[in-house]
Amino acid sequence: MTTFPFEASHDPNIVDLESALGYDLQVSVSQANGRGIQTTESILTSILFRSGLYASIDRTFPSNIKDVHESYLNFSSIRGNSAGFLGRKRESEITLALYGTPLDILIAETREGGALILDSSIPLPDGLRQETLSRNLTLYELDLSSIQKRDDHRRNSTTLGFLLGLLGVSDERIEAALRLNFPGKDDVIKQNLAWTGEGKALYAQSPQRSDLSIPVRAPLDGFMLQSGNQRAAAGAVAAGARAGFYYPITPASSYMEGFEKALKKLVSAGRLSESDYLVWLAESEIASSQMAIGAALSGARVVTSTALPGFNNYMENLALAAQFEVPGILWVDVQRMGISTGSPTRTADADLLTMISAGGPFPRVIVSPGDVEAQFSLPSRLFNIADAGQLPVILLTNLWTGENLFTAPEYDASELAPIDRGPRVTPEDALAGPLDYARYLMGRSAPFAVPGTPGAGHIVRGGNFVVADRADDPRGRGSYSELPGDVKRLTEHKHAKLALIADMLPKPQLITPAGKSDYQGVSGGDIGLIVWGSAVHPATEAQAKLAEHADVLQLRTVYPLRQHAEQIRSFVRQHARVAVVEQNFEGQLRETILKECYSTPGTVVPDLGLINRYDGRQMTAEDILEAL
Amino acid sequence: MEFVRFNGVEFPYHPEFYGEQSPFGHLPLEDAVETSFQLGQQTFTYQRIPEEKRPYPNLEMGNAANMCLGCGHIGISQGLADALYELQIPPWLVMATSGIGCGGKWSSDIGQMLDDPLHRVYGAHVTHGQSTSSGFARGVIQPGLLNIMGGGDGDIASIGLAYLHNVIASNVNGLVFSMTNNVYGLTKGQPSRTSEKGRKDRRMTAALEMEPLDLVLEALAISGATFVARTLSSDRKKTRDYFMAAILHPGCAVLDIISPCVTWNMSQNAGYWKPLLFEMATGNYQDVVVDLEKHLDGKFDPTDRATAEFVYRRLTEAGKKPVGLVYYNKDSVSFQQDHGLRAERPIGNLTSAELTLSQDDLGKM
Repeated sequence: MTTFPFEASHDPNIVDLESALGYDLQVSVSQANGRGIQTTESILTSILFRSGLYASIDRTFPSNIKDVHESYLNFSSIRGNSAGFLGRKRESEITLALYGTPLDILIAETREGGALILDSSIPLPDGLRQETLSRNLTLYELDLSSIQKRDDHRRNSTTLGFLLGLLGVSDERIEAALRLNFPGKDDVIKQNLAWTGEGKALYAQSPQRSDLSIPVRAPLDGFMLQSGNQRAAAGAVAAGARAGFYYPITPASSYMEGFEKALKKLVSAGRLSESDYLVWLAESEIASSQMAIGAALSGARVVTSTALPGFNNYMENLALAAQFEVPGILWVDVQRMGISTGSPTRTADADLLTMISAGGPFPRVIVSPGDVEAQFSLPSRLFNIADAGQLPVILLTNLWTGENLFTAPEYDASELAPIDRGPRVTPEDALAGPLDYARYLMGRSAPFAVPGTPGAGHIVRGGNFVVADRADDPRGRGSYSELPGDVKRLTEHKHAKLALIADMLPKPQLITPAGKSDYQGVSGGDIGLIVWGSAVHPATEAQAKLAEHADVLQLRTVYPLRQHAEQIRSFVRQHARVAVVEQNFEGQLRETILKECYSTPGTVVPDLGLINRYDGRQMTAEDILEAL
Repeated sequence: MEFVRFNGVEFPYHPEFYGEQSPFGHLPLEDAVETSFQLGQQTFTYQRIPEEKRPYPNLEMGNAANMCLGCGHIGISQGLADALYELQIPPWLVMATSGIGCGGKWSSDIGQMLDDPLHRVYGAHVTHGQSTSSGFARGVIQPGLLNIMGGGDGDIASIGLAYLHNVIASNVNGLVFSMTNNVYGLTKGQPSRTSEKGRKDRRMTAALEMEPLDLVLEALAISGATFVARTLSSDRKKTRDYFMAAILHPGCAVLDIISPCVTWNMSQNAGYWKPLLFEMATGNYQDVVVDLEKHLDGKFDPTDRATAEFVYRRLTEAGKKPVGLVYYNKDSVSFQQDHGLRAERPIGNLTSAELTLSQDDLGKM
């Protein structure tokens, strides 16, 4: 290039990436949807990760395939830090804008003294230019007119090179990241290196310097980059799930795709055969949820995944599963903004109240791992609960966790609960001698008989009211009854089973700056935050950044809460100011806490604050700090 | 331990487990004689155990059905029980899945009142229209077992139509039967999707205001269909034979069984249907559609799909109710066969030890 490609700007005002909490860099990138920005995201994330930092991506993307009119929001924030924070912080140090939308948001979210790298063909209105000045941003307007308009790959790679030049990243580190992202594709790697080299040269020619850097450190030992959906699905495989049924929906499709991918890897490794599992794309959510029941009735551990619009179709079958007392199903809801066809590509933790009553008044367990790390280990415990209690177990995760890439620990077998299929009889059990089989016990889970077991045939407790425990049926073989007394006992039977699995429910976790542990009721202080879902990430970050001491109580079992009511009440009692932090409008966990823990007559109802966000973006630590 | 394929099911067989005191019950496979029967020109073969040596009773004896006297559904569940009895399929190898309504009761009625636990099937009375979805998954997870799905026509042909299409297209090994009475019974007399347009029986709540749906044509329309038949419930022997053929067929067999409702649709009884029925294999085409006689050259071949559909449509247009084996694919490959699913190692029987992944396995994942 012969022409000098930069417009004049003001003096640079370099930001400091180091603080008491260590190194922390965030870069925001915008590009039209469908124009290949994922490569920029993943290369940068890989470089951060390979530099020993906790890397993560926070994507804001539209519900379309290709943005022709450049009108949809499509940008992401890539962060790397040494303290272990995952997720977006409110402001980025650097913004790379290859797209006119949403320039106003991106500039407002660039840290004072930071840098804005802009494709100069994007018009920068006077008001926004003024804003860059008042925020002391170093503005780099890149003239990319020599790159053909449709050559998105080259434009993306060149601007990435410019960014990496500013960040002082060597070609070796870029190449290593490219190798991770394009394994075995030498031509692609070579081409991209040439383009990033051109970008780096552009930065070298720039009279303005920002000269930030990404530290050169060894990668974190025992960690990997993966999405929450991939991780949660691998957790289901590790828990013994071998059948998955779904219907496509954002953001849950990638859960089942991750499930299939994990199983296929075990096939390639020779650990499983193709006939050891089934992942099935059903014709509707009604079919996929019914298939989950059919597969579980046949003895398999099963996952079925969807988002709320799909779960609305699941409800009749969720109720059927409860009625059948079928073991072995994990019902996965990857939450997104609603309602209905609403904002499918935006995140929320807003399905709790729906799940509590979904399908009707029957006991169920609802668990949200919240943090990315627990997505892997928790399913093994949830399947054990489903098998022991023979009741619906719902896993709540969300779009932000599910679809973004995070730094997470490698899979650790010692974290998994050993597979326990609960009370169960199989054909092998019958080989020992005739079975004295009872499927219908009252007040506890009866053995589940796998079809094909001689002498254990039965009609699943369903449309007729099969009761046992009557004087004329000491063996629990069951009989049809519509007598009011029997209907009453059957209703009580289902609720009684909750008590049996109460101890298995994941307990509230106390998070202090020192770490995480089951809450023992001994902590106290000024500020207490009760949190569920992915808001646990900003909450722990806020805790670290807060001048005062704050305790965070993370609820993973979000329903029922009665078995943990004493711990929750104790936490509330021991803190002067308590707020529930959650990503929905209504304060759904707060409402559930008040109902489940404070509804006994005479209980003093506490003043629980609410810190919430419901604009479809993941909450930030700054949101919490501001609210406090 | 070896696995035996016997009359449409596959199960573990070890002679010493089949003694008199065996929990598996005594199944005298050594006494079985290869026997054939005909549906039209098609021959089906099974292993017949002589009646005096049969260990399993006719499950009809344990039928708890609370159905109206004369209900066609009774004949159909008798026909199914007769088929299981004739084939001597151990009841504990049977997965019975039904939907809601009068047509949903058979799975919780058949054999369930018999005292011997070895005589009970694995029944599930699922949600409306979804016996096929549930049954698809049951068949996949337990590929060796007999997978029976069925309900009324409100269940199979109306609310369950999409699921029916998909289970047919999958060709999962099993059978789907519809007890078609052209009316909703348990909800008291609403016209179903197979009701004749504009026809309101005395006790029906209303007439269907649009063209009815034909279950046989619906099944034929699915390119994966391999076995489509229709019969009338009042002929118990014939109903049994259709069930037997459907059980022996490797793939998804669809049976549309006309089942008069004696309470809500009284005038469409067996006497109403009989003059309208046309046996596709043996009927006199000359009397109905002259050009068909020429076209068929005196012989209807159910293994040719295009002919089957064409002939069926012409008969229907001529006001007939075609019955018989309408379409049959001799080379059917079931979903289970196609996907290499093995009765020796059902997904549903994997033990905790087999499911557990080591740290090494996790690394590979």
